[in-house]
Amino acid sequence: MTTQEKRPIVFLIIDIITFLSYYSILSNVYNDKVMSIGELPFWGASILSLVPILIISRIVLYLVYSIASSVFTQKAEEKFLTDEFGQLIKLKATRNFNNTFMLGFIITMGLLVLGISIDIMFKLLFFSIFAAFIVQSLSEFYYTRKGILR
Amino acid sequence: MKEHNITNTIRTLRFHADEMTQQDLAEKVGVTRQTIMAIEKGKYSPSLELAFKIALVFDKPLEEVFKYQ
Repeated sequence: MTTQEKRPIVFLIIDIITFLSYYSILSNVYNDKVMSIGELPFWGASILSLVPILIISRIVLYLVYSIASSVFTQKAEEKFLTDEFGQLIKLKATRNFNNTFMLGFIITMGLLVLGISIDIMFKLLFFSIFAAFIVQSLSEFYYTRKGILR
Repeated sequence: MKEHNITNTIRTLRFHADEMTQQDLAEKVGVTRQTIMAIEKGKYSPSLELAFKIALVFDKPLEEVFKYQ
């Protein structure tokens, strides 16, 4: 498996670990924080923090993975280069990220019309971001494997 | 996945160039091995610039490397 194929799989695992950890932390502090700062500011801050947390954890955990992989396999991690094929894959994966988030957003708004509570709405938006990251990684892996025919 | 009509002779040309590796070719044209693999298998059509670079490595005209059927 090449670095280009391994990278999205590693990112997928990192995203799942990060998201589940972050969500369990949020669940633990939910009651205290809602009492002190209120429901809407709590969810606003949680969703605003999610994307930078996912990006930072990707950088840090990928670095840890690269070091561990180099130590165990005794060979340096292949340098990751982005060329025209890689850029096209990235573009398509980003498009799928956007589409997934938009779908989640529209479903959430639809359910809001049907009368779901505010905290369910924010949880759905939260999961939409997570699902979008998952779809992005899976798309990158799929296009790298299957290729892109124009 | 849609059918595509561009075929190439890169594998044969690499063989005739002292069994040049995909990695060597990738380095010469400035792309990743993944890209060369995808082009060889017909899973990706390179840009015109990359196609010319590949042809230049083998010192062949473009139409000997890539064919449109």
